[in-house]
This record gives sequence, C-alpha cells and structure tokens, in this order.
Amino acid sequence: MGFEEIYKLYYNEMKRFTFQLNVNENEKDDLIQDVFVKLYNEFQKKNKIDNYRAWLYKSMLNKARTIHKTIKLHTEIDKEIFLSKNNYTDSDKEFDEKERKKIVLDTLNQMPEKDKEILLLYYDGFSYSEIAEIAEINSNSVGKTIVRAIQKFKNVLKTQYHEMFE
Amino acid sequence: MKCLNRYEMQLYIDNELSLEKKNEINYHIQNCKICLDLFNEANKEKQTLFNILSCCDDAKTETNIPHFIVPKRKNKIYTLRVLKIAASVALIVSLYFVFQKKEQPNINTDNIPISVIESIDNSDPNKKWHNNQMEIVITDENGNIVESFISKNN
Repeated sequence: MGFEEIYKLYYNEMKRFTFQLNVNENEKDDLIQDVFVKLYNEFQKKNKIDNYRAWLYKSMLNKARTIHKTIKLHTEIDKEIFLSKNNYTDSDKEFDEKERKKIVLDTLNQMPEKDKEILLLYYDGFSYSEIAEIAEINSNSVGKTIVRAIQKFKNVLKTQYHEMFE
Repeated sequence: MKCLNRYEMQLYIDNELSLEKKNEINYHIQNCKICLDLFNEANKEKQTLFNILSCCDDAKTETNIPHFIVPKRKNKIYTLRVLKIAASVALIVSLYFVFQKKEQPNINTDNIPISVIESIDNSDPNKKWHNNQMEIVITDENGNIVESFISKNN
C-alpha cells in the first residue's frame, strides 16, 4: 500500500482520534500533519511497518501526550464555551448533541490518562495485542485495564450524568 | 467448569480466547444462570459504552481530506555547503574591519600650528589648578596677550 492510499484511508480516523483526545481545534491539523510527515519519512527510509493503523495511532498518542498540559488547559476553556447556551442559535436537538459530546469528553478527561487511552483504543476496534503495542502496556493486563476503565467511566457518568449510563 | 469472573467474561465477549476455551464457556453459559446474567450485563455495558462514545465520531462524515504537503527534503550536503559559505563570508567581513582599524590615515603635521603651554614658575600645576590659583595667559605669536583668566575648579 502506498503512502497516498494510507493518508486518504486513515486521515479521518486520525481527525476523530484527535477529537476524542480533546486536542485543541487549532492544533489538530498540525498534529495530524506531523504524524503523516513522520510516516512519510518512514516510507522514504523504506522502513517496514506491519500495521499502519496501529502505527498511526501510536504516533498520534505520543504526540498528544507531549502536549498533554495544553490539552488540559484548553478543555477548561472549551467547557465554558459549551456551557454558555445563551450564545447558541442552533436548535435544541443540536444543542443536546453538543452537550452530550461535552459530557462524554468531560468524563473521559476525568479518568486517568492510561485508562482513557485504552478505552478509546478499545472503542476504535483494536485487538488486545494491538492495544498493548500502541499504549505500551503488557498484553496480559489489557483485559483487566478495559474492565477497570469501563467501571470508572460508568461511575463518573452515573455520579454526574446518571441518565446516560443505566 | 468454574463460573467466570468479570475479567474472564470480558475476554470472552471481546473474542480474545482460544477456540477451545470459547467453546467451553459457550457450553457453560447455556447451563449457568449466574454466568448468563454476567454475560448479558457485560455485553450491555460494552454496547452502552460504544453508543456513548459514538457521539465523538465527528470525523466519520468528513469527506474533504486536505492535500498532503510533502515535507522539504533536508539535504545534508547542501546544508554543509551553505554553512561553509556563511563561515567564509563572516571571516572576510571580520578581517575587513580588523584591517580598517589598523590603517590610520597619514596626516602631515608640518603645517599645523602648535599651541604651547608654558608654566611661568616651577610650581606644581595640578596643585595650583585645584586651589584655583592658576592664571592662564594666552598670547599670540608676537607676545600680545589675547586672553587671561584664573582657573576655576568645579
């Protein structure tokens, strides 16, 4: 598979992943570009990559970790924007969707970083061995971490937004 | 077979077990109410989690993928060449300034009139200056007094 094909195939996934990781809107495009430039360079060097999707996720995760403090800072700012309903001109349905997104992102941000990452990778359909490779954890502990992460996610939602998780 | 714990059930619903183990659990669940309930509960949790997280799937609908900007290739030889040229230019410029300082203009001093300062008595001029006692007399070439004043030490 050529670089252009991979770029077109996974661009949207990377965009979605930056959204899930709550990367600031202004930084998303630069981050995606950086990750693909890194992959492009790997192609130039003719380095072998077995799983491009997992490689891209791992690379994105590492990039996002480096700007972790910035991410947290922007989360606080975004929260204020989300909550100011007076500024909305959208319909109630659209507001509900935005509010729902805000709640989910907020809940994810309240979780330990590792649990959050693993939960997102699990949701994105990676196998346990792939999750272990991307998040750099022992493959035997992936299952336990997923169970723990689901419980934490559920508990935070139940405490704050009980109607979402029955 | 023993009943499954929550972790084992997670492996089962995520299809992370060997075929043999999976078949064993399949049979057990059909005959164990507790494990069947746990299976339903774990499955429901997974579905609910996925439904909730699906609201963050904004990028799924995006179709306009921006064109990839190919990074400029860093040519090491080219960079080295530029550095060599820059260093040579810097050396030439610095040498120019060094020699410019050393080359003093050759001034002919023959025609420049010399002013002569003479001390009339042999007293210490510094002491006199500080004590405001120094009288300065300026005369022209014929000995005529042009100006005369007492020094003032401020």
